[in-house]
Amino acid sequence: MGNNEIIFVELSSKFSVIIERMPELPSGALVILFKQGSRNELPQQAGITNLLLGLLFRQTTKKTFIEIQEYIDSLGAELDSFVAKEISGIYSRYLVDRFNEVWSLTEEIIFYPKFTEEEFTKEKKLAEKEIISEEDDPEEYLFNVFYKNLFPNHPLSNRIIGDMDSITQLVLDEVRNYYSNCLLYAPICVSITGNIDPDFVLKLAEQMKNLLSNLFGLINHNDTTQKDTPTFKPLSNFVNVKKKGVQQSYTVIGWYTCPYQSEYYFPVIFANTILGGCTSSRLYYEVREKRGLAYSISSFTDFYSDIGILGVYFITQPDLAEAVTEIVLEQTHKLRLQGISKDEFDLARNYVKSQTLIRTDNPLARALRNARNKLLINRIPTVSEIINEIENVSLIRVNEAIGELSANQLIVRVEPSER
Amino acid sequence: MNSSVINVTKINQRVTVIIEEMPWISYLTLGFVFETGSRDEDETINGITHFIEHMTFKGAEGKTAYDIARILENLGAFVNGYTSKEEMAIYGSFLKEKFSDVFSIIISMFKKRKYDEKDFNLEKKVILQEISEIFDEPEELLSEFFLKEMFPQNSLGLPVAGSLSSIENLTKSALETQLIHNWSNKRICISIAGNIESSDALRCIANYVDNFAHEDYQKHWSTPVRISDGFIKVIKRNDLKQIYGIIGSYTISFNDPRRYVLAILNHVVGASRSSRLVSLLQEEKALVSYISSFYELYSDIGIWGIFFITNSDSLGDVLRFITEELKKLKNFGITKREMDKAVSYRKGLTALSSEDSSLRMRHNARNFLKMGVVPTLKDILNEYDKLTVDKVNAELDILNIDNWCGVIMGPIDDTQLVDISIYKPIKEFQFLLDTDKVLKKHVVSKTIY
Repeated sequence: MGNNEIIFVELSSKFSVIIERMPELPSGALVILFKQGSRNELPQQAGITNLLLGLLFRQTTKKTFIEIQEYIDSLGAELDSFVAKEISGIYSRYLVDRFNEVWSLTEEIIFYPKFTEEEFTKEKKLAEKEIISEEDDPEEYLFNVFYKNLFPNHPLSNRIIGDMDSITQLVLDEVRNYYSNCLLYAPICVSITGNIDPDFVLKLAEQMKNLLSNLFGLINHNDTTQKDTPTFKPLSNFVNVKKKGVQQSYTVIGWYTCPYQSEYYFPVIFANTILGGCTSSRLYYEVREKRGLAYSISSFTDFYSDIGILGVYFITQPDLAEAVTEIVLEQTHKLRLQGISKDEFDLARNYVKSQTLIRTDNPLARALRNARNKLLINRIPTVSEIINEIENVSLIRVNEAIGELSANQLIVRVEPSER
Repeated sequence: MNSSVINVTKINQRVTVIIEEMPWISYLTLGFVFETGSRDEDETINGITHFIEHMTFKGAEGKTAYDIARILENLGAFVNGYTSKEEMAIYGSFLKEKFSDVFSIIISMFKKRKYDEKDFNLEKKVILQEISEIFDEPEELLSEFFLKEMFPQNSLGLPVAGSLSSIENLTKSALETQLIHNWSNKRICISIAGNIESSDALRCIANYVDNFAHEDYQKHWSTPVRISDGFIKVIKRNDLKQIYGIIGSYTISFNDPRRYVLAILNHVVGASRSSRLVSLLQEEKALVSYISSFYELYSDIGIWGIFFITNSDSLGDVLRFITEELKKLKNFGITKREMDKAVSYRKGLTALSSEDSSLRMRHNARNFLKMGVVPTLKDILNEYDKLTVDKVNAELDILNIDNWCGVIMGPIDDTQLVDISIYKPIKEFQFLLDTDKVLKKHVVSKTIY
């Protein structure tokens, strides 16, 4: 899609608005993003952000849960919330002629919630059910153990949905406090894509900012909170969990890499593409194509504001897990020693460029990316700027990024208890 | 609203090109959709179509699988495949400048008719692992059981990827024979959606027309016999923390004009957060961690159902509420208010999904193969506008509510079986198996390394 102009206005030090027109599209997207996620939670309140966002949809001063949902349906729109480790938000997709209604409803959900004991209890019960449900899913279970060991005793390892202890102990007052003192206190970005008059949106955003200050007295954000930059200790563990009922073996291997905002960001993405990010990657070839040892094998990246992860995930028959682990370690060792070749580099560039264009070619993905960039790197590159960044990556940089991976890795495996 | 033009070009009796121009996105999706799937198989060759889909990526004249993957990914294309009960497809998304390159590579992949013994054996291992993964996914596993029980003695009940034993026993020559048969006897829809001009695409495709043989196509699916009385079957698995259930019945086929009515009813019953079952059982009573209704329509029959996840304490209540809600629906139908919001929602969703080229590629191909026509966005919106609450309530029979069937899996004890039998007499207690029996029966724990 064409290179649309991005309009960016900071209405206060904590409240900003981004508008990207995308005039060709019949639909639009609205995202209200908070720089507040599960890593900002205290250990005893793990899961509170997720629970709070669920609660916001349960009742407003004007509507019940069912009235909210019926209204969303009648608008023919999608409207929901999500929580990640460093951000959370409310997002929607709609046909542009429904923008006004979607905006008002979003505003009502965020600023006029009605917190009642009854709804709080229901939301808690659902959260508890969700926590239990992860037990039946070996993949979710594996990644929980992985993050717990990757960031021990650090809030980055918090599960987004929380754990049984933290959720059971939560009381409504705590959630109410967290809402005004944490969620709404955090930097907020309103991000809109679609064919909407920017002046009109700016006026609405100004009103929203005033609402925030009238209701909560919050206009500015003084970032005085202690940064919790983890001390990332060398990784050298192997964690093996036996689980009843599981038939296959699930393994994840991870290395520390650069954070979200880093000159190595795209180089790491290139390295990931070549290691296990596509079907011509080294691991796909060595493990699946050449040896038929697994159906699911791929590598992934995961970036945060102060650290990143490059990881490999695979599912195998229990008796093959060790052999595949060895191949992965051998391949990453080779990657570290020799780097990637010029041919591989060219492929990674073409692939990453094209897939970046394809993946962000929808209004919701675009609105989310703009808001996330604002809150996490304080910069909102346009599509062509991003493509430029990808084109400017050099082979040397990719191999430097590979050299910067942590020397040791963490291996976590979940496998059947009886073998 | 953008309502795009859909261009349908018949190449010959078997091959049709469908192009939906979506100039407002920057890329396109190209799919080769074959009218063949696991329905064409019997138990002995179950999984062969899905196997062929995998083998399609095993290279081309003078090129290995790895060469092909590199060429495509160098073009920035992500090419993949899928197989279902009635379709097998190879598809990819990429930028329009690469159209003729990607097209010719996929054609060259199809041209390969003989496979290397080694490639065949390696891929067999990969597919056996793919099948084994399902045993760790309770939802997938239960869906397979449900279909198997709904369509006994019919190929519609066979799993798409096959069983461990059918794949173990499959030979390379059986695969090659089937491949030639698929390529020359099945209908093919070349479905394109996205940023491309029809004339450009057709000009490129014209160069390859010789590859599409003229032979007549065949379709020999036998329509499944419907089970006359409903059942509930229970799979005891104490290793699971939750109980998984599906309750459902037969419904209309894909080409039945009442599928818009079905979409509305499905929405009202359990397909949105405001639906009767989700709002009652999940949001209001918090008895389930998940509940949703669904439907799946085939050429000659369909199924619809309700999928839920709950725990031991709540199972009885969940079944009671579901059966009560179904009875209520059967006796009183839906309200005008429910109807209006469902129509707005379906229309909105349809319009929003019209911006997704890979969805459009699939929908257009499926519509064409099953109905012979490809409705545009506008056509579909019109169909919804024509509905009234009376018309919808006059068609409640399409849900066959009295004849529902169910499968339930999880840590279930004997007292709960009594609970369950209140809602449906459990006729087949022999199906009451524990984990080991169910899984060991299907999983051959043999070393394949």
